[in-house]
Amino acid sequence: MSVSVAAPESDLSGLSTQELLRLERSIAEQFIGGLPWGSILWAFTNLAVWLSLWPLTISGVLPLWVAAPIATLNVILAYLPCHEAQHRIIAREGEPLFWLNELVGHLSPIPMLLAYEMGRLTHYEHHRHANDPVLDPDINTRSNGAWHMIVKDFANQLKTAPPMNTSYAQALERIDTDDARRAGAIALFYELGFNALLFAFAWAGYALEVGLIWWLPRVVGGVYVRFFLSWAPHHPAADLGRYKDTRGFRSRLGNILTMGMQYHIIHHLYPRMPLMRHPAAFRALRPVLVARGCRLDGI
Amino acid sequence: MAVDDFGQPAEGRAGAGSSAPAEANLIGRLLMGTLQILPFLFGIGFIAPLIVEGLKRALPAAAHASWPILVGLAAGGSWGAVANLRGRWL
Repeated sequence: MSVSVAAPESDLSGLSTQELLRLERSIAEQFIGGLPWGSILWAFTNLAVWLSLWPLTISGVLPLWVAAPIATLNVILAYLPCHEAQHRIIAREGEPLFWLNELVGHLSPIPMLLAYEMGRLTHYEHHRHANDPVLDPDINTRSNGAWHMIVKDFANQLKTAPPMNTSYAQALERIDTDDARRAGAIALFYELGFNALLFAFAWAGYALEVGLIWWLPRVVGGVYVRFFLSWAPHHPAADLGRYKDTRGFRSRLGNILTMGMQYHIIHHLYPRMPLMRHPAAFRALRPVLVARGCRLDGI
Repeated sequence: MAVDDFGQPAEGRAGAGSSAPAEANLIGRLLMGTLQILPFLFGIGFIAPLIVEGLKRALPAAAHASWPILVGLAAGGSWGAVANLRGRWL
């Protein structure tokens, strides 16, 4: 994609708030729109790989020690295409490809077992109330540091009612619409259906297979996803506001292994911008972000 | 922006006038009840067969015996029941 407008490298502190906003929007608009084929391909490929692990391991073609890390990777990769769908980035309601948006939204997160509508509604709440200690459904990842987050997240998963599940249920209760109630009911069916499948596979003699392809990857992959998608871009999760609730950061793991989250600040400013354009948009917008006083840790 | 375009009309909200069928309430209570004892069910549904499989792999002599199932159910069921009471798995 060709970018015609980028913020000048010079100091923008002389611009008024309105001028900065106009400049910011004119730059950001260049990166919004079009079909994110990469994310669509990502969604279906990842799901196909994860589904293929079942017959391959049960038939003995693929050893479990190989399948388990692949399944964990599948869980880690399952969320972001769904996230694109949550923001209607593939297509909005009423557009010809809206069915594809919803298909990606529903199918992509199957390995991590996220109910799409619950994910969508609670994620909107996260955007509206990012870092709010009561209203942000993702506030549970707030921690003192990286290791604290990881230990805390595993500890949370040892609870029979993990706080992340509780806060999502509470968010749906607060939304209190028919859509939210339906989303809650579907999420409940997902949870019970997952357990029913787990029990059926286990008692049929495939306890290790189901444990290492689905249950354990959800536990481990879930920590990775929450670390990079929730904790890292919002740390220390103390400030509220458009330019304060999310940060840019430099990770030693780089852009791919952090799944583009170094530039998550761009997503919170422009939620309908496709993930794969965030790095370029960040580079074009960086002087504006500096002028706004955004936290850009090493990036 | 997507975050701003999902507001629900007032008539879509719960409250006055909604009369859910009794069957739906019953199903809802059953589901919630199942959820409340899920740790115990997880103990006998998943941990128990996992223990059984582990025992059979570790002790080939036990492959055709029924005692690993009893051990699995006892250990998995107890663990799940304790987790259900304490609210924590460990």
